[in-house]
Amino acid sequence: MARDSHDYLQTYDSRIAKKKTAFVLTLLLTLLAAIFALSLGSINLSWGEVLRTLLGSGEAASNTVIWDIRLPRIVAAILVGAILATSGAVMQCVLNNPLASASTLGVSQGAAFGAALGIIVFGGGVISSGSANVAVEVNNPYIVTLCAFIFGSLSTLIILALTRLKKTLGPSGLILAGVALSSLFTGGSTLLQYFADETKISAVVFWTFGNLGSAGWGEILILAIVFALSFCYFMLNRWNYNAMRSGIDTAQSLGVNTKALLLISMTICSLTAAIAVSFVGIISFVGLVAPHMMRKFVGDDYRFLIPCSAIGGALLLIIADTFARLVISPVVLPVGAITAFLGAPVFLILLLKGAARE
Amino acid sequence: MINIDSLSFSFDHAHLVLDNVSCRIEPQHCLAILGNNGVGKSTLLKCINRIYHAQQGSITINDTDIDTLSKKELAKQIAYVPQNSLATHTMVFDAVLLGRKPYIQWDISKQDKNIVTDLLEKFALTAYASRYLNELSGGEMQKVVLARAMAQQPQFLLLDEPTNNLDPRNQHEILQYVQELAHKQQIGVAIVLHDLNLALRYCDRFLLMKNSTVYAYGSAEIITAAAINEVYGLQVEIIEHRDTKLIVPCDTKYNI
Ligand SMILES: Nc1ncnc2c1ncn2[C@@H]1O[C@H](COP(=O)(O)OP(=O)(O)O)[C@@H](O)[C@H]1O
Ligand SMILES: [Mg+2]
Repeated sequence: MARDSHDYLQTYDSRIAKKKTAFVLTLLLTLLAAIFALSLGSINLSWGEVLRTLLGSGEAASNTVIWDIRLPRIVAAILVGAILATSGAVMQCVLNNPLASASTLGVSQGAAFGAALGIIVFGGGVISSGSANVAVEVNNPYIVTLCAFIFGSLSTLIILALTRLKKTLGPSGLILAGVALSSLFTGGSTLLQYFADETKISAVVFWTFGNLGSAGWGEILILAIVFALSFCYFMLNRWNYNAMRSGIDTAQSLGVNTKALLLISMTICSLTAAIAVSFVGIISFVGLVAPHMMRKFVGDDYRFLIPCSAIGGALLLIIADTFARLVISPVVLPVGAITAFLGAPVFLILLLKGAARE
Repeated sequence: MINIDSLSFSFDHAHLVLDNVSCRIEPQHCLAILGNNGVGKSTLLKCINRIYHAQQGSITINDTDIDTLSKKELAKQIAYVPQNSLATHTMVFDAVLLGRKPYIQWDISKQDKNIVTDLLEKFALTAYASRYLNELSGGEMQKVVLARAMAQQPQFLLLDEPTNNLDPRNQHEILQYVQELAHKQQIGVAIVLHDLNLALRYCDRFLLMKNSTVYAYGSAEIITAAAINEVYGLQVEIIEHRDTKLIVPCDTKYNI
């Protein structure tokens, strides 16, 4: 008997060890991908030169290429990927819906509409964009971010109200509601374009694409702070998310304040998604795909799923963005389009799997 | 002791789902909550567990109003097994470990793991420790959720129809275990049951509910043929067999 119990305690410990290994491996892979991405572009640099430049002893030309152009872009990819993926993992848990994420629920689209509204109607101004081929300049990012947050939250509120009012809605029903909201906000953005002058039209178009080149170090700092804070909240609640997975009633009886957890988590998710969208535009499906990718390795244990999703999202976005930069170089494709190509098939597979289970 | 005093509850402020319900859940005793579908039995358990908040009346646990306790404190004292548990893709070991949730500070301790190990042994679930919940039979699943509730080390245990979908052997195993808990570990138990004979055999307190309120509350003597006819609309005969009552339905023709 005693030996027996020893055995599966060991099994438990080795399972945990495997999850930790998965985390470390993904982290290493992401670092490698980042260095790789730093070395590639219109000027190819050697890995040694990349590392030297990062350590502050590179040549002047590589300094400009890395510190002013590539590094901000890649750090932005890491932060935005991590933000979208952690918020996706959390939404999937609190809404008990494997298809939930900022872009499938219309939160990103709402935020993009808000951003467009901020520029066109409230004349939100101009920050310089890091990448030369983006003509749009926006100089008051805060009104844009605020509008993005308001409309991103509007989507969230509608989604939450729907889950409360119609309990039989089900996972697919909720995603249909997300589709409706997305079309509504995309239609809104189109209308805004129709009435706007030309420079502002390109602003709106730019927002619906997603472009990591538009984030400078200032925005990156904000993204980093936002990510750090939301990540801390998510990690502090990791046991609550685990409990939440076994149903609302069970979670409550285990001492979880499920209503507060749902509301605060969803607010944080829409806030972080709105900030990400207002800086880099809509990047769809990363929030959906990254958590599911990591579930293959660490299961549904939110102790590991939250940090692993963060890394997985970062990795995914670095790869997608590097692909977008290089595939028909020197033209840089919008990364949002690449992630959509990547994400749509995964989304369909999940939908089919879910439909089979219902 | 949990004391439920004149509890009233409604979902929509129009009609009462619980109407002035009073009863007690005492340590060392098993309370059977009996009544027709929809009479409010599950709602009563959820009010005791503060999943729902009763509009009127009070619930105290060892003379402390439950509203003054934090959710975590409450979870250390009352464990609850809902009528339907989600069979998620979670390993049995992890599912039972979740019962330690109210005690976990930052991470699980060695003691938490030992408690889980002991419970798995007690429920003969060791062979299933690495299986997933969505791959278990009804009986195994019920044992897992009961083990999770016991991992909370509660003073009171609320079970909502724990014998649903179980074969006779499993029904008796579960109820025997629960009865032993009450008698040996001084736990106060409340069970919603539909099988009156099981209730009579394993419980020693009875709450008969009708029209959202208490029809009768007391020990086994309140279970009479007349009471059962009133509460369930069912005609029965009660026979004595080895000191326990046995309820046998009469040959009545009911119109559907
Ligand atoms: N979430 C809910 N919202 C509105 N009415 C409910 C809800 N849950 C249960 N009810 C109603 O409350 C009454 C009591 O339900 P319940 O306590 O589940 O009965 P039972 O005794 O079968 O467990 C029923 O009429 C039911 O329709
Ligand atoms: Mg019920």
